[in-house]
Amino acid sequence: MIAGTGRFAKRVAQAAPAVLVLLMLMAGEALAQKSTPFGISRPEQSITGPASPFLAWILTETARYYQLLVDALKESKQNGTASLALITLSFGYGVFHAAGPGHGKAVISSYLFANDEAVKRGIALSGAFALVQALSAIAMVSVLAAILNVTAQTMDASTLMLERLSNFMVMAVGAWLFWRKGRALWGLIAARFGLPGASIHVHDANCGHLALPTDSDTAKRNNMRAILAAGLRPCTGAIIVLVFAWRQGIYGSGIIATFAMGLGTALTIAVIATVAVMAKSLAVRLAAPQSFAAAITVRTLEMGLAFMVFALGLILLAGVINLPSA
Amino acid sequence: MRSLLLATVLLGCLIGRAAAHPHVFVNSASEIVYDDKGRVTGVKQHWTFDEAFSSYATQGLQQSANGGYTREALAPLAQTNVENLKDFGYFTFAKLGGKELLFKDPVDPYLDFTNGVLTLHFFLPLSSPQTQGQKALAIQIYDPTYYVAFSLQDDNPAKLDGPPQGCALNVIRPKPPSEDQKAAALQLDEAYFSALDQNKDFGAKFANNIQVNCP
Repeated sequence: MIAGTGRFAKRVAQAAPAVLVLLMLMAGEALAQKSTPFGISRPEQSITGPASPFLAWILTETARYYQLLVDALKESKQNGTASLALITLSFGYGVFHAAGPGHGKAVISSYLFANDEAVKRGIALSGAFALVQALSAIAMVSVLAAILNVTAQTMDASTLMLERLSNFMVMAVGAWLFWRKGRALWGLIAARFGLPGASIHVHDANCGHLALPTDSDTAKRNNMRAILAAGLRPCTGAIIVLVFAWRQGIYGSGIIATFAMGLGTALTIAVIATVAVMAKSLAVRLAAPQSFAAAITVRTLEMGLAFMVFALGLILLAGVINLPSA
Repeated sequence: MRSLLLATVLLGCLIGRAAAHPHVFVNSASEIVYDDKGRVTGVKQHWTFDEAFSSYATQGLQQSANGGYTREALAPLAQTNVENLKDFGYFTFAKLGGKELLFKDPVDPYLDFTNGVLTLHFFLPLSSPQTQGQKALAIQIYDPTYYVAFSLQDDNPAKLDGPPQGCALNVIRPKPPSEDQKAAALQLDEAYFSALDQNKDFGAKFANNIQVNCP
């Protein structure tokens, strides 16, 4: 009887990962937005908490800044130059937009928490992410609208392609991190109990301090590059503003506005990233008094966050993989 | 493993929960159409888009000599517009005496392009004509996900087309926040959002209401 239960439990444990992935795919598929209102432009995939007053405030402010920045852009047509107002408004739009629903900051902060990064690296990563996003929008509109003069629907299809690519990259980084962190956790356990697999561990709990092993700099750089690829999906607002600017003959102002948006985005994400880095170093510090349980807790947390990155990527990818392109 | 499952389900609930910020701004005018028997048959919508979205939507389309677009050149776009609106219930929510009314597919959709902006026109027929009697007819126009921000036109946001005698039209716009509420918002005060039903979609806060009462 007991043996039977054990076998059953084992079978469940074996099936669990498959069930998990299936669930995620179903979640993504169920959440996939089959169409866009009016069939033109692509809403960004969003992660949202409950309908909080704070979120409502963010959304209304983002809308307000967007309209003001489009007005300022129109004015710049008369003045012939991008005004300070345009730059300020675009910056403000970027700040609020990045604070609203969207997965960029979730990916970056989860990644930073799962790794031991300095605040400086976190800020640099946020800035680079926003820059990639701005450049991607400019490159896309320059090639598709300015040079090839394709329709909005073709541009939407390209956005969708970039969306798939960036979601895939998020998923891949998450999977890779999850594997690494899982190995590290096992290493910790193995070192303590003299089990096989301890050798993959650089330090052990007897070092005198709880130096948690970290990935090599090369591995980190590769991870960061992959995270940056998540920024390849340009923001819808930037695409519309750029196309509008191009068609009004004020493309230069549009590009300046896009970079200003990027700066605002970078600021918000950097603040969130800094919180993530600080939360992580606090967790490590609390675990520092060489307690085995504390080390295990930190490692498990890291694994959890790595899994979050993976799950995010997979769910978001499932949400866009089956959509018809154009 | 169980906690991972739980985390995934939670994550799934968070992602895609409808909320965006608008990239499409629509100024709406509606006509409520009655037949010769005095029954409501549907709603004619005239939706004017904002300049930036109009510019984006017409990108790459065949322009006429004056830089505008003919109705013919815009026909495929109009078709795309209404086809995709189906999944969103045409952002038009009608109730008669508190009972929800259903719509059929739109009729005669077309777009025109004037002064740099697109206007989408279509007739949205009720699944069956309704005798209104003394029941209140309420029509709401809004996007629950707030990707499209709807506002009602300043002049004639709604009209009645051939209503029974004595029917009165009442238009209620979403209230702009008062100065006190704006101040409260800066402190992220709950008071600012007291009007917002926490369990409802964001867009409902921005709903435009048209009401018709007949004697």
